[in-house]
Amino acid sequence: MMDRIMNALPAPVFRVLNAMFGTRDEESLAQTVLYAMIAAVLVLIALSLGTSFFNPVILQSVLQQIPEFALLSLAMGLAMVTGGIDLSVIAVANLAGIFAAYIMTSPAIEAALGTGGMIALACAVGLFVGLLAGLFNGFIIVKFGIPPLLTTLGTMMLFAGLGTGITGGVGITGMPHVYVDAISAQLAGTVPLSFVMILAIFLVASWYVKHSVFGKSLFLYGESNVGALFSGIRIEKTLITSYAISGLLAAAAGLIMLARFNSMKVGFGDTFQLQAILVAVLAGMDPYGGRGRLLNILPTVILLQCVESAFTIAGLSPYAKKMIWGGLLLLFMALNFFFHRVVAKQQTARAIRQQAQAADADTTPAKA
Amino acid sequence: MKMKSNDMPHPQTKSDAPLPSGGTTGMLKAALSRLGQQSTVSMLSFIIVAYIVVVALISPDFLSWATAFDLVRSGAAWMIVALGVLVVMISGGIDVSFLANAILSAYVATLVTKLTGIDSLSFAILIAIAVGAFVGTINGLIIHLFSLPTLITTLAMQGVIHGFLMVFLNARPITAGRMPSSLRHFGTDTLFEFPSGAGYIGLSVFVVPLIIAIFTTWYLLNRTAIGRAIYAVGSNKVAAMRAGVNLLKVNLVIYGYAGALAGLMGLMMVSDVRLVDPTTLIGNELLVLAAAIIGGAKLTGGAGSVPGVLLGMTLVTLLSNTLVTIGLSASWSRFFIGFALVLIASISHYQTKRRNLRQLNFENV
Repeated sequence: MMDRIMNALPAPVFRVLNAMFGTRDEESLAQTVLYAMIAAVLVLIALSLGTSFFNPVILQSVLQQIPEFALLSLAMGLAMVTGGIDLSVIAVANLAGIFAAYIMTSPAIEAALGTGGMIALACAVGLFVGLLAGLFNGFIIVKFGIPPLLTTLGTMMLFAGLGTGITGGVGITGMPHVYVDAISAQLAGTVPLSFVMILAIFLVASWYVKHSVFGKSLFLYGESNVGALFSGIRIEKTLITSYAISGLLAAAAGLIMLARFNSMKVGFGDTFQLQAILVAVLAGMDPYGGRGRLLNILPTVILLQCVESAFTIAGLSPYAKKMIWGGLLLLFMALNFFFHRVVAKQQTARAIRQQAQAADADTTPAKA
Repeated sequence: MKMKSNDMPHPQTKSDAPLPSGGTTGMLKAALSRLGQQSTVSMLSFIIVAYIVVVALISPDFLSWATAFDLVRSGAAWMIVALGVLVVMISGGIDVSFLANAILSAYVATLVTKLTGIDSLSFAILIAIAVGAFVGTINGLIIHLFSLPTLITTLAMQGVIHGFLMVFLNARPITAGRMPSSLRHFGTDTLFEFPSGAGYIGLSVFVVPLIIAIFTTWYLLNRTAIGRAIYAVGSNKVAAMRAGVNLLKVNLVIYGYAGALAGLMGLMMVSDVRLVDPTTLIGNELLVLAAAIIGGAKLTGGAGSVPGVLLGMTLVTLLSNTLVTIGLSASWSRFFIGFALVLIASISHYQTKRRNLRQLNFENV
């Protein structure tokens, strides 16, 4: 039934949309339409909330709140490139934060290294924990052939359980002031420093994934794992590296969360789980792998954070937000499905047309 | 390092089968694959018995009817919902919306029972199952129509269902005093009782729905055409479609059935704790998934059995409830469950990977 509805949607509609958004291929068109929809939501917010939303203070706080969300989404998106998923990102972030928090609240280490040295050590250990967790994920996935979904489901319990076990489920509080204040530091008094850092990370990450052999291998593996294997790509190394990077990114997010809340506990940031998947899907990362641009994740995160802040201003409860995120995720996946179907149909039609033309071109000289 | 472990005697390995060449790793691989060949059920039974023996040695009080009945009471509802998850996983899908579904069904059932004044347990159960099945069917419909990844869909549905309950139904906790009396009795009634120490101990009536659910699930999976179709879809979707399996029907049955069991489970949970709190349950989905996977279900589908998932849930229930008895803090329970999950998944998937590679099947490289 749905097929019939979609088939009825005429190609000219898409041609018009193509012209409107200045896109040539249909894949990116689907993306643009999704963005246009979010933008429309934003305009709606602007109209309904007006300057109570669009004022420097709110916009600055939106940028302030983005870093950990963006890093977790990037980690999720990276896993999706290979057709996997990383459900353990929040648990890794928590675990890294907990280790860092223990070091930062230890008077003995502060006495030995000074405050600066202690913070540096804590961050290094936190990142190392994330790296180890990521390597562990990658190793299990590659060596035992367990689907990433199952692996990260298990390690999510494992890491969260480890964190709960170590802390006894209690939060660790009382980080050094220098560390907590660093999160609200600003560049030239306007742009949050943390946001500039995130921007740099995204630019480097997307450039690297686009231009390196590693990045190309990731996408190829996501498109077809057997194809990647037979083209001689060292898939084990590639996959382990990608999950290790995911772990590192999650750990970095954990360190930022530690500074923001001035405390760390298993369960902090649990809501990011659904949101990170939503962002990755919305940014055009195909959950089945092989498609998407990592750089798209950043604007999507900013847009979503804007919407989230607007919801908060409008006084929606966390449950209402959760419902809207879930509904949006379903809606966008359904739309993506239709876009891909229409695109596939158009491509088939074009291929048939070209073949017919080629056949004509072949036969015409023969007759003449 | 390598030499050292080579020198170590491996009597079992030697007596059983010819060693694959390759030294330590070869032996390790052989041992792993042998572990994988053991049926999940016997391996799990062994682990559970061993664990119970250890617990009983540390604290002899553990071996008593009271403990056993208590574990049955606290585990029955979870086993029921795990059976639903098993059916989903056999089809190659995964469901994380069932606990949101359970609490929604239980809330609606309690509310309707209160509003209509029909204070009857069977009426409440009927409504809970109907609501659960309806929500589950929506899951199945969405997944089928748009051919979406099941995890992401049901994760989104979890948010939608819970948000719907909190926002549109404006759910507030219903305390024991305002709960229908039939539900309160459901939680405390026993099949039989006998005197023990200071008071009476008895087997909770929860075993009745549990046994019914076990039989229905077993019958559905093993004795009906749709049950075989569920296994077929999980093993190879394309082949199942070519063989004439109606995917829409299968999807609706799977998710509807899982939803119905979730509804039943929700009602049992609120009767057990004598409080309908719309914010509970959610967040424990992983425990149930872990139980199903430990019990031999595979995310890739086509595998899993009723006895396996029952044993898996038993292990998870034991690990969640008895760590304190052996002197460990209860906060470690998730760690151990996660560990068991990763370990058992590693063994079974490693086995599959090796077999596939031997047959030049590069599906899961």
